Amino acid sequence: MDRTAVAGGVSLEITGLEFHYPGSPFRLEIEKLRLESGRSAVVIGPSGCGKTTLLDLCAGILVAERGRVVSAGFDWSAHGEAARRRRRIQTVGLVFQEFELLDHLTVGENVVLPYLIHPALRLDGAVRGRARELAGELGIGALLDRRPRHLSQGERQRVAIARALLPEPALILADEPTGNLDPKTTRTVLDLLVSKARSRGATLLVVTHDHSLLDAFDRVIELGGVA
Amino acid sequence: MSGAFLLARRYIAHHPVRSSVLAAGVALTLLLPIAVQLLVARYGDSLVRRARETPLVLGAPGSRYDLVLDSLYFQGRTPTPLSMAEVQEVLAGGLAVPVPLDTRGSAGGHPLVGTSPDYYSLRSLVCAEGELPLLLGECVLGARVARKEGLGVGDSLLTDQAALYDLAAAYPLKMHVSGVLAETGGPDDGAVFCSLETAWVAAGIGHGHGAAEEQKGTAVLRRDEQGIVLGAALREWNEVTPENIDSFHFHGGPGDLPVTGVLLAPRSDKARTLLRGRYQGRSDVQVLVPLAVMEELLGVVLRVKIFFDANSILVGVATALFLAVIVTLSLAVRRRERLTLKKLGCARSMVARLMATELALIVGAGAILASAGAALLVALAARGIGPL
Repeated sequence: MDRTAVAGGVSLEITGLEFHYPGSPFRLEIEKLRLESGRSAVVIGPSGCGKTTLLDLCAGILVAERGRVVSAGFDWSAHGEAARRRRRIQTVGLVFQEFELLDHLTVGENVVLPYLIHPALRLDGAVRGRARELAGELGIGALLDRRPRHLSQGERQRVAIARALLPEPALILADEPTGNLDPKTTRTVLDLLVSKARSRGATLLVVTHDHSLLDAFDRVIELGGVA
Repeated sequence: MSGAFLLARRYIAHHPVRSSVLAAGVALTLLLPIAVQLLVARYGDSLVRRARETPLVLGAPGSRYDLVLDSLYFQGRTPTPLSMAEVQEVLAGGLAVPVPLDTRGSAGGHPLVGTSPDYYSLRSLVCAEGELPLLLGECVLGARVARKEGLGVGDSLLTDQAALYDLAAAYPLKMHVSGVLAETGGPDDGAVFCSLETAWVAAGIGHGHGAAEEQKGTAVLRRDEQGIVLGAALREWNEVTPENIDSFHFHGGPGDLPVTGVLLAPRSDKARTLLRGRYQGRSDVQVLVPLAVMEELLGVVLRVKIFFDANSILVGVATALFLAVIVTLSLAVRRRERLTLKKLGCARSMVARLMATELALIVGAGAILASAGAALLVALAARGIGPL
């Protein structure tokens, strides 16, 4: 991983980005966007403006037609699918609105899921220890043997956050991470996400519709113009 | 444990009903072909081994299968008897050791095999306890018979009456158990052996009774200077004892007595060829090579099995298509899960490996179930058919 190489530098850099879905009038264009390592930013904008698309481009799930998206020193558009997947699982943590936990796994197994699905990450005793420690920090330490369906919404999102943080990614991308949570839980979960990302020196990019949360981030990015 | 294996195992365990139904479907598809294969292999080997150990069989004209199955395995229909004169002819020829068999009787529901002492040498049979039958009225039990009947040396065993309502038929003979044969795993374990003479007495061809001069009443039909004619009221012994053994006798010449088959042990390959040539043109007897007959019989079984196998293949293809539909539906149902894995950075080959592992586990479980079921089925069938 290149985390040491980018520590204190630029974690995410977009230049001259152009992207559109085939057969769709939608078009995402970003001239320039830079996020320094360890900083947090929130992306806002109306529905359909391309917030989730931006996250997918930053994670290398989608590839820009023009321009460059460089994350942790890695230019997504310069590499093939296999290399992007390998890089993504090593350096990018993803948090989804619907949590996307696997019901047939325990909470503990969901947390270590990235280590089960790609040989680039190796699951060993140290990783398991770190997972237990992280789960304890996120308040789900006692739930590791339970199934996700037996957890509250807030607990599920904590599990998803733990899954995203465990590989110690340089970049954490969260798509509406509090969209399914009640107001009280929203604030708690968001604070946890921001503080854990910050304490690990990871750059955090969050998409949200909830303008009351903007104060939690170092920077606000409004699609259609970088604020 | 690899990630794919853990995830597959967890998914299967999370859907026990669906997984069990799939495994049961696979098991049912595989069960019969495996069971048939095991049965054919088991009995095929057993049949051929016994046939290979028996060079030639002499018998009366008729079904070759009946003669070989009866003479080697004591099963099937009893062939038409031939006379002891044929045995004497082989003996006089000096080309082979004839081992005559009379398999018409039964005792306690088990085949009663009257034979000569050469049979025990030919089959390498030895006694686990007691000794081989030396006297008239003695028998030696196959290991399974002794176990099933709970009999041992010194006990007695009645022959079965062939015709319950035939008043003229011979009464059951009470035989003395002189020994129990060591277990062989073959047909000899399930039979009762005695001398030919004992078998003939059991069949009513020979008998023993008090002296004719001492008979009186309705037992005597006529008494004059020409001799004494005894009637059906004559009391015959139904047990051979030291006191009455001398009274047992056979009416007619030794060459007229019946045997159901004769095992021939040629003294050399040349003698074997000569024997076969000698009997080739005869229409009153036949000499068979048991191995050839059994391979022919198994050939018929295997030809039938080909149709069975073809049916199994069709059922297998249907099951594979059924599984393919299930997998396709499962992929559609789990699209969101696959998308999440992809977004997280799951290796491209991982999803395929995951699905393959799940399928392999289900098919493996089905195969294990099928094998266990087939073994059970074969054991039950073996209990019904009995070892050959």
